[in-house]
Amino acid sequence: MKEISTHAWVMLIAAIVYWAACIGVGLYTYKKGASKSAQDFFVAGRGLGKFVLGFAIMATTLSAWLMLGHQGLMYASGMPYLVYYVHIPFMGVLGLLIFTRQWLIGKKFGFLSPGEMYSHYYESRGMRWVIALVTLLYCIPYSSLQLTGAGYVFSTLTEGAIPFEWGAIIMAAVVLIYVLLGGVASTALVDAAQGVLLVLGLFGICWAVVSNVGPGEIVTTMQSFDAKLLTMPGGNGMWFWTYTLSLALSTSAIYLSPAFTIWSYSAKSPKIFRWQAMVVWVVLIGIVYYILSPIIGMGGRILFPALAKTDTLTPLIMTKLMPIWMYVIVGIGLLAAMNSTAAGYMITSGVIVSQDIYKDKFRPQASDRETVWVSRIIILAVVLFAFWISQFWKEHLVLMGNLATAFATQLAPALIGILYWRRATAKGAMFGILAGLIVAYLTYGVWRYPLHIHCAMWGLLANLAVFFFFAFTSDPPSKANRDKYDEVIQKGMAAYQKEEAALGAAAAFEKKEATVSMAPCPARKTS
Amino acid sequence: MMPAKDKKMLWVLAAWIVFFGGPGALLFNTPDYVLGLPALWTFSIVAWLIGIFLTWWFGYKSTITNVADYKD
Repeated sequence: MKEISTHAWVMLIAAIVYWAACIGVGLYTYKKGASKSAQDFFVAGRGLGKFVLGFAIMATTLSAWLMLGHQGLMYASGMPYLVYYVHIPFMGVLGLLIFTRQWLIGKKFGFLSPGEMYSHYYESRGMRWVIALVTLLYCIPYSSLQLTGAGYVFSTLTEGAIPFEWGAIIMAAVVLIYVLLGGVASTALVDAAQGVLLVLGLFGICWAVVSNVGPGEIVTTMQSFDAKLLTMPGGNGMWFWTYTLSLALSTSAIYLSPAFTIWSYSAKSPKIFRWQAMVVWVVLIGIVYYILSPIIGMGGRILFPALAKTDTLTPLIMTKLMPIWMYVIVGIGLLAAMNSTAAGYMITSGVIVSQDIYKDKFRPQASDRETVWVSRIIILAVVLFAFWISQFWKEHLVLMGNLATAFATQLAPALIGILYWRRATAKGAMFGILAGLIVAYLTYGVWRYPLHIHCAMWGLLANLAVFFFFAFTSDPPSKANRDKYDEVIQKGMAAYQKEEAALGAAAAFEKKEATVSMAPCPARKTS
Repeated sequence: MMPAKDKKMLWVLAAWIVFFGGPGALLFNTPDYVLGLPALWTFSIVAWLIGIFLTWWFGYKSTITNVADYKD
């Protein structure tokens, strides 16, 4: 092993402790019965609480990109990049619009996988295959990108003592162990802790910048920057308003991906989603995006002017400006960001393939135990394939990764059909998704972003055209089935209103009681 | 049937994302400072604050996003 600095040694030891803790959580959930039944393994027994699910959703959404590429892009683009951040509050609302209803539908019909919901509503087994296809097209490249990132980051943080390939292998092995042991329950627990680490890491990066250049100085110095950094299309010339808007919508579509349907099914109560949207996402992550990120990017410009490779900004801040303890926290935060995203997508692949393909097509009589074991084998296969791509198909990885969110966007019309619009048809949903996938690929791989509009939106336009065409020319699902879904949602909304009214009445009663008990005693009559 | 207040707020949501995610930014596309910050930064923070309000409304006031479990 080549000679390495104290920073790298401490980082290596901290990473070993962190990975041991991740495996420990996997063992703990396994012993607690996280893989006793398919429901326990696939949706954590529908029992995830506020803190765990709130931060797990956040950690799955945010990958290491937020700590590395994102800060570099702010450095290169300047203020126009902020316009794209509108996706943060938009995702808060989008989550509320889709998670609560998916939770209710999942619970009432007993769904364990997203494919079950799509095929049951549309009365089409083909939908399961289409959903499985989109899931794999989304999850494999994303997992692969995280493995590549982990290899690169770990190798950088240990100053090359651990080669890139070994960094990726170690991370894959650790994630595999805790995902295979505890399924969604261990994934959620580890993700929640990793979400906290990730946010701490970002605050650490910002602190390192601010302690070297004050926030006031950053704002005033920006006046002397090239005007390109303050106006659209930005320092790198990419932020046209058509691009910011279409990219914001496409990024928000991460919530449509099957991984988030599984999170929706796993909640103990639908009220968790509003806490998640409001507190964790829009306010906490809003602060990270709208306040910390410009400070890091623009402060970085003052501290390290004229960086040739802007995505080296975060590693530079870490190595040049941070004390060792903070370097370790941020480093672990970086690894956590990658672990959490990869784990969420790995488990999704396992759930989808075992439930929607293996059980539905080949072994309808498969027991819970068998399905759980098949999902474990699928997860292992997905990780091996993702690893293979990260090592031997690198040149296609960026293309696949960039297309992944564009592919997830194509689920929008089909999901809206289930949750809100009863005119949607199976043909429209299925062929719409396929048309969307093809057009998204063409507008990225062949003719990139025509009119500065993101490929996800071109795909969605084609998808919607097909979706609406079939909505008016083919038969929707049977009336009985549509009525069943309507009834579940109507009853769920009525139950909430009733609950709220009861809570309101109880609060009013308590207030009245308190007023009565505090009122002065009536004056005694004296004769 | 969707309650009228929810329908209205969905239109507000659509108008907000389209305006603040794209063309609205052109109105603030200047190197000048507004309220002590670069114009596009101020513009984005306004978008965020309105977004916080929308999230709160859809989380706590909306009918369509709030459901509860019930006994059949």
